[in-house]
Amino acid sequence: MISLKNKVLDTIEEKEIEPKPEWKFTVHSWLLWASVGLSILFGALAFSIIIFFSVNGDWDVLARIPNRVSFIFFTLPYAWLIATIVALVFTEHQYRQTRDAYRHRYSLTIFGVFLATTALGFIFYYVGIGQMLDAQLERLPGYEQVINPRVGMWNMVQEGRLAGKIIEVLDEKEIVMMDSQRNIWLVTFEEGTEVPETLLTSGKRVRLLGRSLTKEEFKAKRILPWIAHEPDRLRIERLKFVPGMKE
Amino acid sequence: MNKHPEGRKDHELVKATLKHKEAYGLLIERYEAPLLRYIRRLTNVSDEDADDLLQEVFIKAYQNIRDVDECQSFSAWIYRIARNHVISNYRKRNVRPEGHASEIDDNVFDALLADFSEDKSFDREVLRSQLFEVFGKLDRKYLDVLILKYFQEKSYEEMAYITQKPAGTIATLLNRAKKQFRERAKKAGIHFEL
Repeated sequence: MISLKNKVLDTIEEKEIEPKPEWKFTVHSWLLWASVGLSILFGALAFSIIIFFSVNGDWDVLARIPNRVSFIFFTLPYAWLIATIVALVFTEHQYRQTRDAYRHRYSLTIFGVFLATTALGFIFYYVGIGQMLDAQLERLPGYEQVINPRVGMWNMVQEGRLAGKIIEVLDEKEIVMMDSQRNIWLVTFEEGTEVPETLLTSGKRVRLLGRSLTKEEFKAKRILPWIAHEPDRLRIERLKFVPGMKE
Repeated sequence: MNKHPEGRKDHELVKATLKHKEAYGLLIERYEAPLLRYIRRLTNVSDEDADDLLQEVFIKAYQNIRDVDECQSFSAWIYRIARNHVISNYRKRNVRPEGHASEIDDNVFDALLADFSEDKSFDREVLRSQLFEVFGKLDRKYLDVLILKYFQEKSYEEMAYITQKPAGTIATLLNRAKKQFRERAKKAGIHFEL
């Protein structure tokens, strides 16, 4: 009877099996760490957009919006929340495959991954990357409808909400605006409406509260910037992200 | 670096294997019997299939021999390969690997009793067969750690490395495994203080 030792050695000989070269293990290890890094990066980018959306939520007009609970519910950035969670889970999973990961407690690594992702996400938001990324992605077809539900919630003229980009400022009482569906609106302001000069600029994105008069006319009683709290533009300019800005 | 003399010898044999594959035969001889017992405890495959699995484990280990971690014992490394291979084999065949504590030899039996009981006034043979039955009914995840601890006599560090779980998780699993063992033993009518 052939011993197991001889069987194994004979198989190795016959099939010309050789030990894998060391570089393969090195590359595998590097790829694992790279996937951990990229996953943290992706999660942080998604998280920076969540912060950007949260900071620029419609807190300033919430009191004036009927059904505010459902408004908040429908404007949450679900796609980015899911993307962040998926990135967190994937990062933890990939980290677990690394050589010494087994030495660390699950709770510790989950916390570490969460901390790294959110901290980097805050930095990305702070330097304006969240806003820049949102502006870049906005060019993709369907992005606003699917990824950023806030746009849809501000395209409800029947409920007195309209948002879009100013195409032309006729005078301090009248503007021409294009909404996200590319419909053109003639917007007039009610008597006594406070219209900040800084908002009356062609290309500026704004939110309006008021009522529609016809399918092309809107009477606004309040005008607000689309992005209420922009990160310091200087920081973005320093990073040369200005060409990607949506406004 | 592994300070254990046996561990050092293993690592020397690993280095020798990279120069002359015949040296690998010595590692096979050293680990053939314990690994076969381990595989048979992890899975309920036939003796023939267990032999085939073991052969595949040694070939896989040979292919990956440059990945041996010098900070870890070769023993833990090859047990890890064996465990992963049994699990992946189970996934491929979609057959549940049910461990069967086929042999509870005296050393294992004494180790178990030392941990589970203070009372030594019992019929050892009756208890041995009862323990065999209780082990067969434990949850897979608990059996996994109990086999490594009591049958393969692995340290916590080695168990953590083999299962790729943190040592704290291993300790928790062992505690739960003991608890489940006590409950199942009680249900099976085994009367000794646990």
